[in-house]
Amino acid sequence: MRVGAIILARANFGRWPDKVLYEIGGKPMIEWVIMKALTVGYDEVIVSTTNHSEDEPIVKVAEKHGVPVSYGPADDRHLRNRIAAEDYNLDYIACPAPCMPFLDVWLSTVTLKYCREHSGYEAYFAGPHSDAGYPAHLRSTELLYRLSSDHHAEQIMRHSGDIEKMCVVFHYLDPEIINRYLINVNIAYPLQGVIANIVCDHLGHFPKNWDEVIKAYMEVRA
Amino acid sequence: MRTGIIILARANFGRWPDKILYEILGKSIFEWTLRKCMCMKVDEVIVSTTDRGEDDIIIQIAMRYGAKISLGDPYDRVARHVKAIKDYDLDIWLPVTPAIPLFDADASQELIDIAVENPGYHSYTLGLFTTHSFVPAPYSRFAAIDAFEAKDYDPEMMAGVEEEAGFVLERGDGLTKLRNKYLFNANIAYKIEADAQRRLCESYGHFPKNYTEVVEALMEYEP
Repeated sequence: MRVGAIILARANFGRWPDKVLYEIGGKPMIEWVIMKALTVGYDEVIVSTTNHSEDEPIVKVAEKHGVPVSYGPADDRHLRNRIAAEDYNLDYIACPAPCMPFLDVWLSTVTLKYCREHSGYEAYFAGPHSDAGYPAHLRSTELLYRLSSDHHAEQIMRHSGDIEKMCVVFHYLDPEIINRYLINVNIAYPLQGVIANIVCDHLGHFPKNWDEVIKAYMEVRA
Repeated sequence: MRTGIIILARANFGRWPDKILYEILGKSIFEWTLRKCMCMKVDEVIVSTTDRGEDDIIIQIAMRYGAKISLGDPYDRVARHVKAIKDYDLDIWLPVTPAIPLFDADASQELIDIAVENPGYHSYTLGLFTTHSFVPAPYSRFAAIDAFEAKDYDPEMMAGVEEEAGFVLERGDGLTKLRNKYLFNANIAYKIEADAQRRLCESYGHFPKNYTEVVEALMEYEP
């Protein structure tokens, strides 16, 4: 079984151009995500981007860490996922967003371990509601193919029967787990980027782990 | 088919005492959350708290907005959910945290309507990759009661539960457009988040009326 992390990243894209290159704690946020993904234990960590010139800085960050780059169409993220999964012969993929520098490696590791020890599911989720604090879900490549082929309808109602075997690592309504992941690690807007830098400034360094993220959140006001 | 919203609320609790009484534009975050819930089309809006003195303020606010009250175990939130479900005989229930003033009530309403039209599932969710923190999503009565009565609930145990009875609603391109809409965590767990949401609302000029306005406020906000 081969499991890979595909980091879909583009510069100059969407609501906040160059967001993934925005510096948190002195490094572009995508660089933190690459560094963390490399410690989880995936068989491959791949950055998927385009061959457009504005994406060259992303390629340079990937190369700096020896991470392979997969190229695909600018406006079709599903296809970029599929291309990367095919190129690197992956059975399961994780998709850590390039703007989640605080993501928790531990839970991604737990989900990956669970996947390796209990094969046969089409998707693995840390919890039934996949909160932004723990972007730790894994999808089979087969599922990726099936969903992406019919997911462009204007409105789709889908029963879970479409995902034939879905595994949730932690039981629902688990207050300890929910409480641990109340922080949204995704940085979508400048307001969230500012908060992340306040956290780093407060600690005096980039958080070493999730406990430090929580510690800073407990102590600091914006 | 009876539907309800259950808000588990306590004052002076947890990592940040009186968190839910933190004010944004003149109202506590609990009040903003409750006001949104009271505007939704459900049979009951229930505030679940305790009979402890510090929670009197919660009961007063709930009564002021016309919500029902359920009192239960201060330390067992699952038990309080189950008690509220039984107290008000709910078939479909929506758990809403009291500190989520910017949640997308329209999307939650849509999920409740879907749940009513499609009974028989344990849980309903907007999309596999969207989150509970933006769009509270309904459960069936039995999703809570079965889990509670099974007594096999161990937070430390990796249960490996198969979620076979979930109902997922994906709108449009579920893996991208929908997810992108909900990139901002509406849940306030820590002071830094409360301060950020207060500044966002003040900068916007009024409390966002819906999630579209939340996104608009975020887009316009300049640190």
